[in-house]
Amino acid sequence: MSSLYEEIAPTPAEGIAVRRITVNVNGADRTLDVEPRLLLADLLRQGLDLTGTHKGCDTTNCGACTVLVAGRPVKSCTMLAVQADGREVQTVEGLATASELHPIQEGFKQEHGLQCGFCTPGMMLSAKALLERNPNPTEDEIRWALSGNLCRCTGYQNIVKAVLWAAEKMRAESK
Amino acid sequence: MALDEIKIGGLGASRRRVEDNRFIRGKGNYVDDIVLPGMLHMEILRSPVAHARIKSIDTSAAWDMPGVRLVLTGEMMAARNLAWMPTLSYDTAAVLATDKVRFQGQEVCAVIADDPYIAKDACAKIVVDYEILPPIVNPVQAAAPDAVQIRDDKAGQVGNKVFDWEIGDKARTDKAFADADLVSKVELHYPRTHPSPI
Repeated sequence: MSSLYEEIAPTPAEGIAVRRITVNVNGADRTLDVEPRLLLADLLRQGLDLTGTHKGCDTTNCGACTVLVAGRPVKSCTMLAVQADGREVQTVEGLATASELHPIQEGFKQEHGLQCGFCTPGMMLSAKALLERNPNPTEDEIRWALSGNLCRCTGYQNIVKAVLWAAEKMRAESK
Repeated sequence: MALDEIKIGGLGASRRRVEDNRFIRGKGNYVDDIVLPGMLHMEILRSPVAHARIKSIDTSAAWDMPGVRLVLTGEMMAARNLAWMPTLSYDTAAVLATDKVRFQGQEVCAVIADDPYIAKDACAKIVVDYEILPPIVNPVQAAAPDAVQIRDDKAGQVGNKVFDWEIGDKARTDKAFADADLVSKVELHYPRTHPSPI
């Protein structure tokens, strides 16, 4: 071949069936045509430009891709987009309102719960699901609830403190 | 943070991190988050075996897939003197495998396509014919006198020790150990590390 970059005219893939799905992402209904094999993580990152959900391992190990589906933490790299059809999905971009951070985000900031920030969205969403079912967790309960989320930077100590900080703030706010 | 809360100081004074604001909002611009107009996507085909001669690579089916822009092999890189690159300790490392694969997971081909799923599909269509050679799976095995030589690409290389590194004053160190009341030894197993951008 004469040159490294041969032009290949892109043509739509033939015979690939797509499914039309409607997913409620961070409170808004989004309707897209997707291949059945599209991962939920890729729907969010590529289809909806919500790149706060990270892909860390490609092996369902690390939890950086954690989102909430119907309020429950799910590794979005191991869920198909079509499985989210008709469901509510919350990502890290849906935590803050226009004017305020979520207490969990504040807690991570106040307690130095992040360094590189790569695991942080997944950590915060797993923590949110925990605090919604258990507003006053012990340190052990926090560590258990976050055991599907790996962090290479912090050693987890300040992540636990961040979640404790957020739990206290959320309890105070709900009074 | 209110203005009256900010404590100005030098060494030892705490500072709020400035990067947290975007990371806690999911607005960090990590490498895979970057989107550029007309951006293409790469997927790498990796060797499933630890040591093998590459007899042939058939990339024709990959090239035929719509959306595939380039299927790169070590041979194409070698024709442009790009198949090997300098690395630590004056050694060289393969960019894409040419004659052999020398570790499990070694990069053999790279596919550039319009979409990461197409790139992955194209990798699955590449056919590599490997002649499997005896593997070395730990440093003790590698150091054995009859061990198969992995880095036969290096001129003058004998055995599997690729480099020696030392620093300091050996004579004084040896004397310190000789004079010590107690000498203890520890065997450390250091796993392979592979730094990657996030």
